[in-house]
Amino acid sequence: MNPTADRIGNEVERAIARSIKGLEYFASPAPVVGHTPKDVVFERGTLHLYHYRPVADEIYRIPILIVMATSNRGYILDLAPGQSFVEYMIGRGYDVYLIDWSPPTAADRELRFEDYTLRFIPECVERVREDSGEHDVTVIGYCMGGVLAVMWAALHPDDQPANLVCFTTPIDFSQMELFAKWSDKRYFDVDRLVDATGNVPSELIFTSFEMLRPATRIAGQVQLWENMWDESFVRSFRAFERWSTDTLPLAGEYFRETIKELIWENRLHKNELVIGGRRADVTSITAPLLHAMAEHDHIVPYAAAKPLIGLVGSADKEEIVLKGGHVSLVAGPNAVKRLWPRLDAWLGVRSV
Amino acid sequence: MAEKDQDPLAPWREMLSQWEQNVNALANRTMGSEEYSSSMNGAMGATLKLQETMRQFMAAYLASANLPSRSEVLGIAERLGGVEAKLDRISALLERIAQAKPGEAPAPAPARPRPPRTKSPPSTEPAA
Repeated sequence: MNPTADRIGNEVERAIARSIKGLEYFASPAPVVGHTPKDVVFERGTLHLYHYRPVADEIYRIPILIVMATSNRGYILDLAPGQSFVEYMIGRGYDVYLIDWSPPTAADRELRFEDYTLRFIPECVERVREDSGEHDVTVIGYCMGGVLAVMWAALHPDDQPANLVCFTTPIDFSQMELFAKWSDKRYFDVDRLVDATGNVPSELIFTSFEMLRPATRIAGQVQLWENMWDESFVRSFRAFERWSTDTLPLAGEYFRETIKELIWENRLHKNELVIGGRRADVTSITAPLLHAMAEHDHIVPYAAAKPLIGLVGSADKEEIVLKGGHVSLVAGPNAVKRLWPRLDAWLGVRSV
Repeated sequence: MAEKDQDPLAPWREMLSQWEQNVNALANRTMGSEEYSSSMNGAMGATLKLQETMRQFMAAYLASANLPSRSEVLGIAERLGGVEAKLDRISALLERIAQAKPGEAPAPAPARPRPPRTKSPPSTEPAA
């Protein structure tokens, strides 16, 4: 057979399948996400602490507590069977807890850094200790979840996590160039925004992320159409699409502090951030630290994330830079091959 | 590689990828300018002002019509959420009390069986 004729034949078959499945796509319901069985351990307003049911015959002694980013839903870490970070970790014998956030209500508009770092995370750590019967806890933070985990660890030098793992965690906010320019204090009136809206609407958060790569959504739709014949591609695309548009509003005061303390004054990087009257001294972090970053991260560029390793006082610390972007680092088919096995290799020996 | 050479849509895919990169780069340059920050925040300020005016107008209108405002409804919803959560806890406790034998304290919530915490990593050497 002529290979070119074969190829054209394949393309014709795909075009037909694309048209049929294209119709199915518009008629089918949204993909199911967050399928791994879990129990609610603790809830308080916007905070939900989940425990994923172990599946291994024996598990590592030290449980893991994951702190999700405040702007997005936690199901990115449990997207679909075979593409779930949580499923992978419990399959490898870890005992996994996760802090997820729901949209803050009007009553949550006053939440500040101190609520997250002196109340929410410490309470969850205590719940994990009670529930697991282990005092040692590994804490993993993703993006702003990593920032909160770093703040918490910096505020608790005498109660460190057994291990601290950060995924794409910004420290030097002056290097988040577009965000810094959009929130230029000469033009951006954060007080007016927060005073007028209470909680900052999810549409604004979503638009900020979208504007970093305005052409990517259109190119993604074209790719979707091109791959409409491929069910696994479509399933994965829809799950990611659902997640990326499912951004959360941010508590007003928390947003105000993020802009003023982190983006305008860059206090975390300068190591002069004060939370609830206490200095969050990043150099006082002594827990073993792993910081995983992505080569092509357009949200948290490498330059914004890399200072963390240099700042902390940990003797045992390592950074890894892997191929991928802000989301594909932690979720999806590439994460299965890249980040997750690296994390397992690093964390397994430190979880006994 | 050979398969890529035979792919009739390869130039199209390449073009799409190039277009995406070029548009993103151009947009980032445009949106990274001071003029853009100034005009974007100016537009946001105008929108907020309009929203604020509308909110004040609506609040006054709803008060005059003896109707609750959005913030009051949200406040009620918040309290309702708290009441529901408390009811869940009370009903769970009542179920345990109902199942307990007369004169006995209610049993604590049933614990889910947990595997032993004895796992060791496949290799004892830290990863390089």
